[in-house]
Amino acid sequence: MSNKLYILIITFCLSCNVLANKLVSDNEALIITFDNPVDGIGLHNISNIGFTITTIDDNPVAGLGFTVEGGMPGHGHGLPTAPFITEQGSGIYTLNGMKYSMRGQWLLILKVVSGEYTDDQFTLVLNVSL
Amino acid sequence: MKKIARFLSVLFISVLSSISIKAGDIEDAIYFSLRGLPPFPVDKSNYFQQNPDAIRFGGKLFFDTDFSFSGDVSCASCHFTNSRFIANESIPAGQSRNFRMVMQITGAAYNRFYFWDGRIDSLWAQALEPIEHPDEHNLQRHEAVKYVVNKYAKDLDTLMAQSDGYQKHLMLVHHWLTSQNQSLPIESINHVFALIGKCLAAYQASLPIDRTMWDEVAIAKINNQPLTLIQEKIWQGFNIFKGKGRCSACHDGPLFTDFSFHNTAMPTVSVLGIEVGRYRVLPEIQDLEFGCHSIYSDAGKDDCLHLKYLNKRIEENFGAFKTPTLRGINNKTRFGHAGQFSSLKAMIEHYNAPPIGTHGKLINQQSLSELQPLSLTEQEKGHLITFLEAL
Ligand code: HEC
Ligand code: HEC
Repeated sequence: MSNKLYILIITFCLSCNVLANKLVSDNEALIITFDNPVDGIGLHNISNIGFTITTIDDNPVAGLGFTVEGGMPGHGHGLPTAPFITEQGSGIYTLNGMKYSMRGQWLLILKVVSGEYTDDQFTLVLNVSL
Repeated sequence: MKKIARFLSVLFISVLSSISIKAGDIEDAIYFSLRGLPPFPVDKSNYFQQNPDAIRFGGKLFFDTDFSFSGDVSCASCHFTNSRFIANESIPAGQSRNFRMVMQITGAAYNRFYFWDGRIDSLWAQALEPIEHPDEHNLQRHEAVKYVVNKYAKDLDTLMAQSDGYQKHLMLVHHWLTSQNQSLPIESINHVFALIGKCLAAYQASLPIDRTMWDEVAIAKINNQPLTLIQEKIWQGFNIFKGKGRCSACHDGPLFTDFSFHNTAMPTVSVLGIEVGRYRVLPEIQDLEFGCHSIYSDAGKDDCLHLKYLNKRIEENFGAFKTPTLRGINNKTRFGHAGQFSSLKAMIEHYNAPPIGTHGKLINQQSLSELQPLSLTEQEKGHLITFLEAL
Protein backbone atom coordinates (compact mmCIF):
# COMPACT_ATOMS: atom_id res chain seq x y z
CA MET A 1 0.00 0.00 0.00
CA SER A 2 1.28 3.44 -0.75
CA ASN A 3 2.30 5.92 1.89
CA LYS A 4 -0.30 8.38 0.69
CA LEU A 5 -3.02 5.89 1.41
CA TYR A 6 -1.64 5.27 4.89
CA ILE A 7 -1.65 8.97 5.60
CA LEU A 8 -5.19 9.22 4.34
CA ILE A 9 -6.25 6.44 6.65
CA ILE A 10 -4.56 8.14 9.56
CA THR A 11 -6.20 11.48 8.92
CA PHE A 12 -9.49 9.69 8.62
CA CYS A 13 -8.94 7.65 11.76
CA LEU A 14 -7.91 10.61 13.84
CA SER A 15 -11.60 11.32 13.88
CA CYS A 16 -12.68 7.75 14.53
CA ASN A 17 -12.63 6.59 18.05
CA VAL A 18 -10.26 3.72 18.69
CA LEU A 19 -11.37 2.20 21.95
CA ALA A 20 -8.58 1.03 24.20
CA ASN A 21 -8.78 -2.72 23.65
CA LYS A 22 -11.74 -3.11 21.34
CA LEU A 23 -12.21 -2.27 17.69
CA VAL A 24 -14.74 -2.88 14.94
CA SER A 25 -13.45 -4.13 11.60
CA ASP A 26 -13.47 -1.88 8.54
CA ASN A 27 -16.49 -3.71 7.08
CA GLU A 28 -18.16 -3.50 10.48
CA ALA A 29 -18.69 -7.26 10.54
CA LEU A 30 -16.21 -8.26 13.25
CA ILE A 31 -15.07 -7.08 16.65
CA ILE A 32 -11.55 -7.60 17.92
CA THR A 33 -10.86 -7.48 21.66
CA PHE A 34 -7.25 -7.46 22.83
CA ASP A 35 -6.26 -8.97 26.18
CA ASN A 36 -3.87 -6.05 26.70
CA PRO A 37 -3.47 -2.74 24.89
CA VAL A 38 -1.63 -3.33 21.59
CA ASP A 39 0.39 -0.15 22.14
CA GLY A 40 1.27 -1.01 25.73
CA ILE A 41 4.31 -3.24 25.22
CA GLY A 42 6.94 -0.53 25.54
CA LEU A 43 9.81 0.09 23.15
CA HIS A 44 12.21 -2.51 21.73
CA ASN A 45 10.47 -5.43 23.43
CA ILE A 46 9.21 -8.26 21.28
CA SER A 47 5.86 -9.32 22.70
CA ASN A 48 2.80 -11.42 22.02
CA ILE A 49 -0.70 -10.08 22.51
CA GLY A 50 -3.77 -12.27 22.76
CA PHE A 51 -7.10 -11.30 21.26
CA THR A 52 -10.53 -12.65 20.47
CA ILE A 53 -12.66 -12.15 17.40
CA THR A 54 -16.43 -12.09 17.53
CA THR A 55 -19.20 -11.11 15.21
CA ILE A 56 -21.05 -7.90 15.92
CA ASP A 57 -23.61 -9.95 17.85
CA ASP A 58 -20.91 -11.46 20.01
CA ASN A 59 -20.38 -14.94 18.53
CA PRO A 60 -16.76 -16.11 18.43
CA VAL A 61 -15.32 -16.43 14.90
CA ALA A 62 -12.92 -19.32 14.37
CA GLY A 63 -10.71 -20.26 11.44
CA LEU A 64 -9.60 -16.84 10.25
CA GLY A 65 -6.20 -16.42 8.63
CA PHE A 66 -4.52 -13.02 8.89
CA THR A 67 -1.67 -11.00 7.50
CA VAL A 68 -0.08 -8.30 9.62
CA GLU A 69 1.13 -5.09 8.02
CA GLY A 70 2.03 -1.72 9.34
CA GLY A 71 4.71 0.74 10.26
CA MET A 72 5.14 4.45 10.77
CA PRO A 73 3.58 6.13 7.76
CA GLY A 74 4.88 9.50 8.90
CA HIS A 75 8.43 8.18 8.80
CA GLY A 76 8.19 5.91 5.78
CA HIS A 77 9.28 2.71 7.48
CA GLY A 78 7.49 -0.54 8.21
CA LEU A 79 7.37 -2.71 11.30
CA PRO A 80 10.77 -3.66 12.70
CA THR A 81 9.76 -7.30 13.11
CA ALA A 82 7.60 -9.64 11.04
CA PRO A 83 4.68 -10.38 13.36
CA PHE A 84 2.13 -13.08 12.56
CA ILE A 85 -1.15 -14.33 13.95
CA THR A 86 -1.89 -17.82 15.23
CA GLU A 87 -5.19 -19.26 16.43
CA GLN A 88 -5.51 -20.99 19.78
CA GLY A 89 -9.03 -22.20 19.21
CA SER A 90 -12.52 -21.01 18.54
CA GLY A 91 -12.09 -17.30 18.09
CA ILE A 92 -9.02 -16.96 20.34
CA TYR A 93 -5.89 -15.75 18.57
CA THR A 94 -2.43 -14.41 19.32
CA LEU A 95 -0.57 -11.61 17.61
CA ASN A 96 3.03 -12.87 17.84
CA GLY A 97 6.24 -10.88 17.64
CA MET A 98 5.09 -7.26 17.90
CA LYS A 99 7.73 -4.65 18.51
CA TYR A 100 7.96 -0.86 18.33
CA SER A 101 11.36 0.66 17.65
CA MET A 102 10.37 4.16 18.77
CA ARG A 103 7.53 6.17 20.23
CA GLY A 104 5.07 7.94 17.95
CA GLN A 105 2.23 7.10 15.66
CA TRP A 106 2.12 3.57 14.31
CA LEU A 107 -0.34 1.98 11.95
CA LEU A 108 -1.23 -1.68 12.26
CA ILE A 109 -3.42 -3.51 9.78
CA LEU A 110 -4.67 -7.00 10.56
CA LYS A 111 -6.16 -8.29 7.36
CA VAL A 112 -8.35 -11.37 7.07
CA VAL A 113 -6.96 -13.41 4.17
CA SER A 114 -8.69 -16.74 4.63
CA GLY A 115 -11.85 -18.12 6.12
CA GLU A 116 -15.15 -16.37 6.25
CA TYR A 117 -14.88 -12.56 6.17
CA THR A 118 -11.88 -12.61 3.83
CA ASP A 119 -10.83 -9.06 2.87
CA ASP A 120 -12.22 -7.48 5.98
CA GLN A 121 -9.55 -5.91 8.14
CA PHE A 122 -8.80 -4.10 11.37
CA THR A 123 -7.06 -0.77 10.98
CA LEU A 124 -5.39 0.34 14.17
CA VAL A 125 -3.86 3.75 14.67
CA LEU A 126 -1.65 3.50 17.69
CA ASN A 127 0.04 6.14 19.71
CA VAL A 128 3.05 4.44 21.19
CA SER A 129 4.64 6.17 24.13
CA LEU A 130 7.15 5.13 26.75
CA MET B 1 -17.71 42.10 28.74
CA LYS B 2 -17.60 39.88 25.65
CA LYS B 3 -14.18 41.20 24.86
CA ILE B 4 -12.90 40.30 28.30
CA ALA B 5 -14.35 36.84 28.04
CA ARG B 6 -12.68 36.34 24.67
CA PHE B 7 -9.42 37.71 26.01
CA LEU B 8 -9.62 35.40 28.99
CA SER B 9 -10.33 32.35 26.88
CA VAL B 10 -7.44 33.17 24.52
CA LEU B 11 -5.22 33.65 27.53
CA PHE B 12 -6.43 30.39 28.98
CA ILE B 13 -5.76 28.48 25.77
CA SER B 14 -2.33 30.00 25.33
CA VAL B 15 -1.38 29.27 28.93
CA LEU B 16 -2.62 25.72 28.47
CA SER B 17 -0.69 25.23 25.26
CA SER B 18 2.48 26.75 26.70
CA ILE B 19 2.23 24.38 29.63
CA SER B 20 1.79 21.45 27.27
CA ILE B 21 4.76 22.62 25.17
CA LYS B 22 6.86 22.80 28.33
CA ALA B 23 5.74 19.32 29.31
CA GLY B 24 6.58 18.12 25.80
CA ASP B 25 10.03 19.71 26.05
CA ILE B 26 10.76 17.95 29.30
CA GLU B 27 9.46 14.66 27.97
CA ASP B 28 11.68 15.03 24.89
CA ALA B 29 14.69 16.05 26.96
CA ILE B 30 14.31 12.86 28.95
CA TYR B 31 13.54 10.66 25.96
CA PHE B 32 16.65 11.76 24.03
CA SER B 33 19.18 12.03 26.87
CA LEU B 34 20.95 9.70 29.29
CA ARG B 35 18.18 10.46 31.76
CA GLY B 36 15.89 8.36 29.59
CA LEU B 37 18.31 5.50 28.99
CA PRO B 38 16.90 2.22 30.29
CA PRO B 39 19.25 -0.54 31.47
CA PHE B 40 20.55 -2.56 28.53
CA PRO B 41 18.46 -5.62 27.69
CA VAL B 42 19.59 -8.96 29.06
CA ASP B 43 21.20 -11.10 26.38
CA LYS B 44 20.04 -14.59 27.20
CA SER B 45 22.50 -16.04 24.70
CA ASN B 46 25.36 -14.85 26.93
CA TYR B 47 25.28 -16.39 30.40
CA PHE B 48 28.25 -14.22 31.42
CA GLN B 49 26.92 -10.89 30.16
CA GLN B 50 26.76 -9.30 33.61
CA ASN B 51 29.28 -11.44 35.43
CA PRO B 52 31.92 -9.22 37.14
CA ASP B 53 34.73 -11.73 36.55
CA ALA B 54 33.83 -11.99 32.89
CA ILE B 55 33.80 -8.18 32.66
CA ARG B 56 37.26 -7.95 34.20
CA PHE B 57 38.68 -10.69 31.99
CA GLY B 58 37.04 -9.22 28.88
CA GLY B 59 38.63 -5.87 29.69
CA LYS B 60 42.10 -7.43 29.72
CA LEU B 61 41.47 -9.12 26.39
CA PHE B 62 40.10 -5.94 24.85
CA PHE B 63 43.41 -4.16 25.35
CA ASP B 64 45.77 -7.12 24.82
CA THR B 65 47.82 -6.52 21.67
CA ASP B 66 49.58 -9.89 22.08
CA PHE B 67 46.20 -11.39 21.28
CA SER B 68 46.94 -10.96 17.56
CA PHE B 69 49.19 -12.46 14.90
CA SER B 70 51.35 -9.36 14.54
CA GLY B 71 51.46 -8.70 18.25
CA ASP B 72 50.25 -5.16 17.91
CA VAL B 73 46.51 -5.28 17.28
CA SER B 74 43.84 -5.31 19.95
CA CYS B 75 40.18 -4.36 19.93
CA ALA B 76 41.33 -1.09 21.46
CA SER B 77 43.50 -0.34 18.40
CA CYS B 78 40.35 0.46 16.47
CA HIS B 79 37.82 1.27 19.19
CA PHE B 80 39.79 3.27 21.76
CA THR B 81 41.49 6.57 20.97
CA ASN B 82 42.87 9.30 23.23
CA SER B 83 41.76 7.38 26.32
CA ARG B 84 38.17 7.24 25.16
CA PHE B 85 36.05 4.61 23.51
CA ILE B 86 35.87 6.30 20.17
CA ALA B 87 36.55 4.87 16.73
CA ASN B 88 40.08 5.14 15.42
CA GLU B 89 39.71 6.27 11.85
CA SER B 90 43.41 6.06 11.10
CA ILE B 91 43.13 2.34 10.43
CA PRO B 92 41.43 2.34 7.07
CA ALA B 93 39.33 -0.63 6.13
CA GLY B 94 40.35 -2.10 2.79
CA GLN B 95 38.64 -4.10 0.10
CA SER B 96 38.43 -7.22 2.26
CA ARG B 97 36.31 -5.34 4.78
CA ASN B 98 34.24 -3.63 2.09
CA PHE B 99 35.86 -0.33 3.07
CA ARG B 100 33.55 -0.25 6.07
CA MET B 101 34.28 2.42 8.64
CA VAL B 102 35.01 1.50 12.24
CA MET B 103 31.82 1.63 14.28
CA GLN B 104 31.32 3.08 17.71
CA ILE B 105 30.91 0.58 20.51
CA THR B 106 29.01 3.12 22.61
CA GLY B 107 25.84 1.43 23.81
CA ALA B 108 26.69 -1.74 21.87
CA ALA B 109 24.70 -3.89 24.31
CA TYR B 110 21.48 -2.13 23.32
CA ASN B 111 21.75 -3.44 19.78
CA ARG B 112 20.40 -6.74 18.61
CA PHE B 113 22.23 -6.99 15.29
CA TYR B 114 25.85 -6.04 14.77
CA PHE B 115 27.98 -4.47 12.04
CA TRP B 116 26.77 -1.94 9.49
CA ASP B 117 24.72 -4.62 7.75
CA GLY B 118 23.69 -6.41 10.97
CA ARG B 119 25.19 -9.71 9.81
CA ILE B 120 25.76 -11.01 13.37
CA ASP B 121 22.94 -11.49 15.88
CA SER B 122 24.71 -11.26 19.25
CA LEU B 123 27.39 -9.05 20.79
CA TRP B 124 29.54 -12.02 21.91
CA ALA B 125 29.45 -13.54 18.43
CA GLN B 126 30.40 -10.19 16.91
CA ALA B 127 33.67 -10.15 18.88
CA LEU B 128 34.77 -13.41 17.27
CA GLU B 129 34.89 -12.03 13.73
CA PRO B 130 37.77 -9.54 14.20
CA ILE B 131 39.83 -12.17 16.03
CA GLU B 132 39.93 -14.37 12.93
CA HIS B 133 39.85 -11.62 10.33
CA PRO B 134 43.11 -11.39 8.33
CA ASP B 135 43.01 -7.56 8.48
CA GLU B 136 42.40 -7.46 12.21
CA HIS B 137 43.71 -9.82 14.91
CA ASN B 138 44.42 -12.40 12.22
CA LEU B 139 44.49 -15.44 14.51
CA GLN B 140 43.40 -18.92 13.65
CA ARG B 141 40.71 -20.06 16.02
CA HIS B 142 42.77 -22.73 17.78
CA GLU B 143 45.71 -20.32 18.09
CA ALA B 144 43.44 -17.74 19.72
CA VAL B 145 42.12 -20.34 22.16
CA LYS B 146 45.61 -21.68 22.86
CA TYR B 147 46.88 -18.19 23.65
CA VAL B 148 44.01 -17.39 26.00
CA VAL B 149 44.07 -20.75 27.78
CA ASN B 150 47.80 -20.34 28.46
CA LYS B 151 47.92 -16.67 29.35
CA TYR B 152 44.63 -16.32 31.19
CA ALA B 153 44.42 -19.69 32.96
CA LYS B 154 43.49 -18.05 36.25
CA ASP B 155 40.72 -15.91 34.80
CA LEU B 156 39.28 -18.95 33.05
CA ASP B 157 39.40 -21.01 36.25
CA THR B 158 37.45 -18.33 38.09
CA LEU B 159 34.77 -18.42 35.41
CA MET B 160 34.73 -22.22 35.29
CA ALA B 161 33.96 -22.32 38.98
CA GLN B 162 30.73 -20.47 38.17
CA SER B 163 29.47 -22.54 35.27
CA ASP B 164 29.67 -26.28 34.70
CA GLY B 165 29.01 -26.02 30.98
CA TYR B 166 32.52 -25.09 29.95
CA GLN B 167 34.58 -27.23 32.32
CA LYS B 168 34.51 -30.31 30.12
CA HIS B 169 35.52 -28.30 27.07
CA LEU B 170 38.33 -26.54 28.83
CA MET B 171 39.65 -29.91 30.01
CA LEU B 172 39.58 -31.29 26.49
CA VAL B 173 41.46 -28.22 25.24
CA HIS B 174 44.04 -28.65 28.02
CA HIS B 175 44.39 -32.26 27.08
CA TRP B 176 44.98 -31.33 23.45
CA LEU B 177 47.58 -28.72 24.44
CA THR B 178 49.58 -31.04 26.68
CA SER B 179 49.53 -34.27 24.74
CA GLN B 180 51.21 -34.61 21.38
CA ASN B 181 49.68 -35.77 18.10
CA GLN B 182 46.16 -35.08 19.21
CA SER B 183 43.65 -33.98 16.66
CA LEU B 184 41.95 -30.69 17.40
CA PRO B 185 38.95 -31.04 19.72
CA ILE B 186 37.04 -28.73 17.40
CA GLU B 187 33.79 -28.44 19.29
CA SER B 188 35.57 -27.75 22.58
CA ILE B 189 37.80 -25.18 20.94
CA ASN B 190 34.69 -23.51 19.59
CA HIS B 191 33.11 -23.45 23.03
CA VAL B 192 36.14 -21.77 24.60
CA PHE B 193 36.33 -19.41 21.62
CA ALA B 194 32.70 -18.47 22.21
CA LEU B 195 33.49 -17.90 25.89
CA ILE B 196 36.17 -15.40 24.85
CA GLY B 197 33.52 -13.54 22.87
CA LYS B 198 31.12 -13.62 25.79
CA CYS B 199 33.67 -11.99 28.09
CA LEU B 200 34.52 -9.33 25.51
CA ALA B 201 30.79 -8.68 25.22
CA ALA B 202 30.40 -8.48 29.00
CA TYR B 203 33.17 -5.91 29.11
CA GLN B 204 31.71 -3.78 26.33
CA ALA B 205 28.25 -3.96 27.88
CA SER B 206 29.71 -2.71 31.17
CA LEU B 207 31.15 0.48 29.68
CA PRO B 208 29.35 3.61 30.80
CA ILE B 209 28.04 5.99 28.20
CA ASP B 210 29.76 9.37 28.34
CA ARG B 211 27.66 12.27 29.53
CA THR B 212 27.97 14.97 26.88
CA MET B 213 27.18 18.62 26.40
CA TRP B 214 23.79 17.61 25.02
CA ASP B 215 22.97 15.73 28.22
CA GLU B 216 23.77 18.90 30.18
CA VAL B 217 21.33 20.86 28.04
CA ALA B 218 18.68 18.19 28.54
CA ILE B 219 19.19 18.21 32.30
CA ALA B 220 18.91 21.99 32.39
CA LYS B 221 15.61 21.71 30.49
CA ILE B 222 14.33 18.98 32.77
CA ASN B 223 15.18 21.07 35.83
CA ASN B 224 13.70 24.16 34.24
CA GLN B 225 16.99 26.05 34.48
CA PRO B 226 17.90 28.85 32.08
CA LEU B 227 20.11 27.83 29.17
CA THR B 228 23.37 29.55 28.27
CA LEU B 229 23.67 31.06 24.81
CA ILE B 230 25.40 28.04 23.34
CA GLN B 231 23.00 25.68 25.10
CA GLU B 232 20.13 27.63 23.56
CA LYS B 233 21.62 27.00 20.10
CA ILE B 234 22.02 23.30 20.86
CA TRP B 235 18.38 23.19 21.92
CA GLN B 236 17.32 24.91 18.71
CA GLY B 237 19.33 22.33 16.76
CA PHE B 238 17.58 19.57 18.71
CA ASN B 239 14.22 21.00 17.71
CA ILE B 240 15.24 20.78 14.06
CA PHE B 241 16.63 17.28 14.63
CA LYS B 242 13.30 15.99 15.87
CA GLY B 243 11.15 18.35 13.85
CA LYS B 244 11.71 19.71 10.37
CA GLY B 245 14.92 17.70 9.90
CA ARG B 246 13.10 14.40 10.54
CA CYS B 247 16.35 12.95 11.88
CA SER B 248 14.69 11.27 14.84
CA ALA B 249 12.60 9.19 12.45
CA CYS B 250 15.64 6.87 12.66
CA HIS B 251 18.12 8.42 15.11
CA ASP B 252 15.72 7.95 18.00
CA GLY B 253 16.09 7.88 21.77
CA PRO B 254 19.06 8.50 24.06
CA LEU B 255 21.51 6.66 21.80
CA PHE B 256 20.13 8.32 18.68
CA THR B 257 19.41 5.05 16.97
CA ASP B 258 16.38 2.83 16.56
CA PHE B 259 18.80 -0.13 16.12
CA SER B 260 17.04 -0.83 12.82
CA PHE B 261 18.02 -0.81 9.17
CA HIS B 262 17.14 1.84 6.62
CA ASN B 263 17.87 2.73 3.05
CA THR B 264 19.12 6.30 3.07
CA ALA B 265 20.22 6.61 -0.56
CA MET B 266 23.87 6.69 0.39
CA PRO B 267 26.20 7.42 -2.51
CA THR B 268 27.87 4.44 -4.13
CA VAL B 269 31.56 3.88 -3.63
CA SER B 270 32.86 3.06 -7.09
CA VAL B 271 34.81 -0.05 -6.07
CA LEU B 272 31.80 -1.45 -4.21
CA GLY B 273 29.07 -0.72 -6.73
CA ILE B 274 25.50 -1.31 -5.66
CA GLU B 275 25.43 -2.63 -2.11
CA VAL B 276 22.69 -4.98 -1.05
CA GLY B 277 23.42 -4.22 2.61
CA ARG B 278 21.04 -5.73 5.12
CA TYR B 279 19.23 -7.83 2.52
CA ARG B 280 22.38 -9.78 1.64
CA VAL B 281 22.94 -11.10 5.16
CA LEU B 282 19.37 -12.23 5.84
CA PRO B 283 19.50 -15.73 4.28
CA GLU B 284 22.17 -16.91 6.74
CA ILE B 285 21.43 -14.91 9.83
CA GLN B 286 19.15 -17.41 11.51
CA ASP B 287 21.77 -20.17 11.32
CA LEU B 288 25.11 -18.59 12.10
CA GLU B 289 27.97 -20.74 13.34
CA PHE B 290 28.15 -18.39 16.33
CA GLY B 291 24.89 -16.73 17.22
CA CYS B 292 21.78 -16.89 19.32
CA HIS B 293 20.57 -20.14 17.67
CA SER B 294 23.95 -21.86 17.65
CA ILE B 295 25.03 -24.64 20.03
CA TYR B 296 27.42 -22.14 21.63
CA SER B 297 24.57 -19.89 22.71
CA ASP B 298 23.16 -20.00 26.24
CA ALA B 299 19.70 -19.05 25.01
CA GLY B 300 16.76 -21.40 25.15
CA LYS B 301 14.87 -22.35 22.04
CA ASP B 302 12.40 -19.48 22.43
CA ASP B 303 14.80 -16.81 23.61
CA CYS B 304 15.98 -15.61 20.20
CA LEU B 305 12.89 -13.60 19.41
CA HIS B 306 14.82 -11.20 17.17
CA LEU B 307 15.53 -14.14 14.88
CA LYS B 308 12.12 -15.74 15.19
CA TYR B 309 10.36 -12.56 14.09
CA LEU B 310 13.02 -11.33 11.68
CA ASN B 311 11.77 -8.84 9.12
CA LYS B 312 13.01 -10.11 5.74
CA ARG B 313 11.00 -7.93 3.38
CA ILE B 314 13.04 -6.83 0.43
CA GLU B 315 11.43 -3.36 0.41
CA GLU B 316 12.72 -2.65 3.88
CA ASN B 317 16.08 -4.38 3.73
CA PHE B 318 17.57 -3.93 0.27
CA GLY B 319 20.35 -1.36 0.37
CA ALA B 320 19.64 -0.75 4.04
CA PHE B 321 22.26 -0.25 6.75
CA LYS B 322 22.05 0.06 10.49
CA THR B 323 21.21 3.44 11.96
CA PRO B 324 24.43 4.29 13.80
CA THR B 325 24.47 6.00 17.18
CA LEU B 326 25.26 9.70 16.86
CA ARG B 327 26.81 9.96 20.30
CA GLY B 328 30.42 11.06 19.97
CA ILE B 329 29.87 11.96 16.30
CA ASN B 330 32.07 15.05 16.73
CA ASN B 331 35.04 12.69 17.03
CA LYS B 332 34.54 11.44 13.50
CA THR B 333 35.79 12.95 10.29
CA ARG B 334 34.21 10.55 7.83
CA PHE B 335 30.58 9.61 7.82
CA GLY B 336 28.53 6.72 6.46
CA HIS B 337 29.32 3.02 6.37
CA ALA B 338 32.00 3.50 3.73
CA GLY B 339 33.04 6.98 4.79
CA GLN B 340 31.09 8.54 1.92
CA PHE B 341 30.98 12.03 3.47
CA SER B 342 33.85 13.99 4.94
CA SER B 343 31.92 16.53 7.00
CA LEU B 344 28.72 16.81 8.97
CA LYS B 345 27.75 19.64 6.62
CA ALA B 346 28.04 17.31 3.63
CA MET B 347 26.03 14.66 5.43
CA ILE B 348 23.27 17.18 6.17
CA GLU B 349 23.25 18.37 2.54
CA HIS B 350 22.64 14.73 1.59
CA TYR B 351 19.61 14.58 3.87
CA ASN B 352 18.42 18.01 2.79
CA ALA B 353 18.29 17.17 -0.90
CA PRO B 354 18.49 13.38 -1.05
CA PRO B 355 19.21 11.63 -4.34
CA ILE B 356 16.91 8.84 -5.45
CA GLY B 357 19.66 6.45 -4.48
CA THR B 358 21.28 3.59 -6.29
CA HIS B 359 21.11 0.92 -3.62
CA GLY B 360 17.90 -0.72 -4.55
CA LYS B 361 15.33 0.29 -7.05
CA LEU B 362 12.68 -2.32 -7.47
CA ILE B 363 10.58 -2.74 -10.54
CA ASN B 364 7.82 -0.12 -10.50
CA GLN B 365 9.38 1.58 -7.53
CA GLN B 366 11.33 4.76 -7.93
CA SER B 367 13.45 4.31 -4.88
CA LEU B 368 13.64 2.31 -1.69
CA SER B 369 15.10 5.27 0.10
CA GLU B 370 13.10 6.55 3.05
CA LEU B 371 14.39 10.10 2.74
CA GLN B 372 12.34 13.10 1.73
CA PRO B 373 13.64 16.57 0.78
CA LEU B 374 13.81 18.86 3.83
CA SER B 375 14.30 22.44 2.57
CA LEU B 376 16.39 23.43 5.56
CA THR B 377 17.67 27.00 5.63
CA GLU B 378 21.38 27.69 6.11
CA GLN B 379 20.64 28.80 9.66
CA GLU B 380 18.77 25.59 10.43
CA LYS B 381 21.64 23.52 9.04
CA GLY B 382 23.98 25.47 11.30
CA HIS B 383 21.88 24.80 14.39
CA LEU B 384 21.67 21.14 13.45
CA ILE B 385 25.46 20.91 13.25
CA THR B 386 25.82 22.65 16.62
CA PHE B 387 23.48 20.04 18.07
CA LEU B 388 25.31 17.10 16.47
CA GLU B 389 28.64 18.41 17.73
CA ALA B 390 27.24 18.45 21.28
CA LEU B 391 26.40 14.75 21.17
C1 HEC C 1 41.33 -3.20 12.51
C2 HEC C 1 40.29 -2.49 13.20
C3 HEC C 1 39.38 -3.24 14.14
C4 HEC C 1 39.70 -4.10 15.16
C5 HEC C 1 41.08 -4.59 15.57
C6 HEC C 1 38.46 -4.45 15.82
N1 HEC C 1 37.42 -3.80 15.20
FE1 HEC C 1 35.51 -3.77 15.83
N2 HEC C 1 34.97 -2.87 14.11
C7 HEC C 1 35.83 -2.44 13.13
C8 HEC C 1 35.08 -2.11 11.92
C9 HEC C 1 35.68 -1.61 10.61
C10 HEC C 1 33.72 -2.35 12.21
C11 HEC C 1 32.54 -2.25 11.24
C12 HEC C 1 32.75 -3.37 10.23
C13 HEC C 1 31.57 -3.78 9.39
O1 HEC C 1 30.45 -3.35 9.58
O2 HEC C 1 31.79 -4.60 8.51
C14 HEC C 1 33.69 -2.81 13.61
C15 HEC C 1 32.52 -3.11 14.31
C16 HEC C 1 32.51 -3.48 15.64
C17 HEC C 1 31.32 -3.61 16.46
C18 HEC C 1 29.89 -3.41 15.97
C19 HEC C 1 29.19 -2.24 16.55
C20 HEC C 1 27.75 -2.19 16.11
O3 HEC C 1 27.01 -1.33 16.60
O4 HEC C 1 27.30 -2.99 15.28
C21 HEC C 1 31.72 -4.01 17.70
C22 HEC C 1 30.84 -4.26 18.91
C23 HEC C 1 33.15 -4.16 17.66
N3 HEC C 1 33.60 -3.81 16.40
C24 HEC C 1 33.93 -4.66 18.70
C25 HEC C 1 35.22 -5.11 18.52
C26 HEC C 1 35.92 -6.01 19.42
C27 HEC C 1 35.35 -6.59 20.70
C28 HEC C 1 37.17 -6.21 18.90
C29 HEC C 1 38.29 -7.08 19.44
C30 HEC C 1 38.02 -8.49 19.48
C31 HEC C 1 37.24 -5.42 17.67
N4 HEC C 1 36.04 -4.79 17.46
C32 HEC C 1 38.37 -5.31 16.89
C33 HEC C 1 37.20 -2.35 13.25
C34 HEC C 1 37.93 -3.09 14.16
C1 HEC D 1 15.51 6.99 7.28
C2 HEC D 1 16.37 6.89 8.42
C3 HEC D 1 17.31 8.04 8.72
C4 HEC D 1 17.00 9.39 8.79
C5 HEC D 1 15.68 10.06 8.57
C6 HEC D 1 18.23 10.05 9.13
N1 HEC D 1 19.24 9.14 9.26
FE1 HEC D 1 21.19 9.55 9.62
N2 HEC D 1 21.67 7.61 9.24
C7 HEC D 1 20.77 6.61 8.99
C8 HEC D 1 21.47 5.43 8.55
C9 HEC D 1 20.85 4.10 8.17
C10 HEC D 1 22.84 5.77 8.53
C11 HEC D 1 23.99 4.90 8.02
C12 HEC D 1 23.93 5.01 6.50
C13 HEC D 1 24.99 4.28 5.76
O1 HEC D 1 26.17 4.49 6.01
O2 HEC D 1 24.63 3.49 4.88
C14 HEC D 1 22.93 7.15 8.98
C15 HEC D 1 24.12 7.87 9.14
C16 HEC D 1 24.20 9.14 9.66
C17 HEC D 1 25.42 9.82 10.01
C18 HEC D 1 26.82 9.22 9.89
C19 HEC D 1 27.17 8.48 11.16
C20 HEC D 1 28.47 7.75 11.11
O3 HEC D 1 28.88 7.25 12.17
O4 HEC D 1 29.07 7.63 10.06
C21 HEC D 1 25.08 11.05 10.48
C22 HEC D 1 26.01 12.13 10.99
C23 HEC D 1 23.64 11.16 10.41
N3 HEC D 1 23.14 9.98 9.91
C24 HEC D 1 22.90 12.27 10.81
C25 HEC D 1 21.56 12.44 10.47
C26 HEC D 1 20.87 13.70 10.53
C27 HEC D 1 21.47 15.01 11.00
C28 HEC D 1 19.61 13.47 10.08
C29 HEC D 1 18.50 14.48 9.88
C30 HEC D 1 18.79 15.55 8.98
C31 HEC D 1 19.51 12.05 9.77
N4 HEC D 1 20.71 11.48 10.02
C32 HEC D 1 18.36 11.42 9.30
C33 HEC D 1 19.40 6.70 9.08
C34 HEC D 1 18.72 7.91 9.02
